[in-house]
Amino acid sequence: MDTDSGKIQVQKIWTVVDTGLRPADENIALDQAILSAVEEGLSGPVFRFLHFEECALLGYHQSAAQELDLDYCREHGIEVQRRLTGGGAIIFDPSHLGWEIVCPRDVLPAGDMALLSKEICEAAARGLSVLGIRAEFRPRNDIEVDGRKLSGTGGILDGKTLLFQGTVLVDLDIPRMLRVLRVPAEKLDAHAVASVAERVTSLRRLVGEPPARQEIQGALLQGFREHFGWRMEWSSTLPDAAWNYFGQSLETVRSAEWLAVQDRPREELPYRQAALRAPGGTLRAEVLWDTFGKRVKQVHFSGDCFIQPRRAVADLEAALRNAHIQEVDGLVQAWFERGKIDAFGLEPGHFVQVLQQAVA
Amino acid sequence: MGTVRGCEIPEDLMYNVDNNVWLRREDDGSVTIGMTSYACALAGQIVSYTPKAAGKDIKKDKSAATVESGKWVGPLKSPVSGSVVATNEDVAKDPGLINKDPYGSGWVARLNPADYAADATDLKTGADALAAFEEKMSADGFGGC
Repeated sequence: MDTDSGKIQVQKIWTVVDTGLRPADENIALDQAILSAVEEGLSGPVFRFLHFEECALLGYHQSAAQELDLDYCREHGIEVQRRLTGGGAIIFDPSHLGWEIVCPRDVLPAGDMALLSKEICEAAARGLSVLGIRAEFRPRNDIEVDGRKLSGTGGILDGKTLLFQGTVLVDLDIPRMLRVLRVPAEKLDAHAVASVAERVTSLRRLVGEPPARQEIQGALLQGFREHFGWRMEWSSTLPDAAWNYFGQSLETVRSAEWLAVQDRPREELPYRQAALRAPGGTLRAEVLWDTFGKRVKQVHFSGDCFIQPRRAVADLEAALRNAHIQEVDGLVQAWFERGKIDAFGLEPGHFVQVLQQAVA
Repeated sequence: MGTVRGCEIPEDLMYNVDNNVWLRREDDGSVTIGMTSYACALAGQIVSYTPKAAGKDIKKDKSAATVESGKWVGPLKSPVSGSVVATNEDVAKDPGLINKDPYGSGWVARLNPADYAADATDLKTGADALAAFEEKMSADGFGGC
């Protein structure tokens, strides 16, 4: 084997590493460091497991003031950080497991970003299913079990290198989550907790006592191996090249400038709600409304109406996340037609109408 | 207007094909840059746009702005070094403009180039650009816009 082919061989073997419990700034800095090392050709592909001290993580384009209760975070020592990747704000605590892949784009199947998300999420879902649950990919970027989200994901494609990461909710403290994150159901009562529980789940809820950390990690790796046919080998540490970038990356993510990449005021993202009496019952919409971009950042539908299948409303809420108001009609129609929805008197127009009333 | 696999690639613009960005030299010497229709097709609906602020210096092939689609973040890499002179407020309000009109109202940033003559030697235009995009799409396994 000549040197060149030897190098290619090394590049094809994934380094699997668990970087242990860390504060959020170190984990985000490691994301950047690994991305830089892979992009510069100084490291082969990396599969990393992440553990966080309690923190709130913003999506790259989100504003902390808009998405989080910053006073609560300060009072309770919850670190606030910004991810490199897209998507919404999440809480992370030591019970959660993070996973990520960092690799050249061409390691993955050719196609657009939607296909990339699908492929990676299907690999992760296949792995999680090894734990005895029926995990499935839900467009655009979630992994769910019976209509409830178990894992959210997001990515960054920086030229020819990508980083894609996700969470596994091993356990979930919903009241704590509702205190930290701004969600449409703002009232912190039993109803709000039950409402979130309808949409989000955890391994504890699905299987009782959650599997050991090593078992979950092994299952995820099995899913990626089987789905992509990758060769993956555990290592006790990251490649040296990644550590060489770490100090500089840490300095960047600890700067005030990094957290202020987006600092739009809370007033631009008000909470709005409306109710509509319709033949199938009363339909309510609670919305976080982006007045600047005219977008539905999040919407939560509720009411005394009856809709089948049970997961249909969660699917609609996922489809409408970040939708421009002008896209709402088309998205609701598509949901209704695609999902074979039986809403017992409620029509697609009712969902559109109550949402438009809320943001008017 | 040139077309490659259904994607519009105007032949009068300059391109960094690897980074999937276009550049237009303006009469005042500044340059306008943006995403190609091919980049838009790969990304899908763009929902967020964060440009580097006016006055910032950007090095060639470094990020002049980031965009987000479907929870994917991607930088738009400037084809030339220079300082940002303008960002697109209309795109900030409606990032989907990039998809709707990538070579017009969906422009991403304007820069005063530091050394246009030197940096532009790497860029492709006209038939060369179309051929390079065809090659890239073939390598990427891209079906078409």
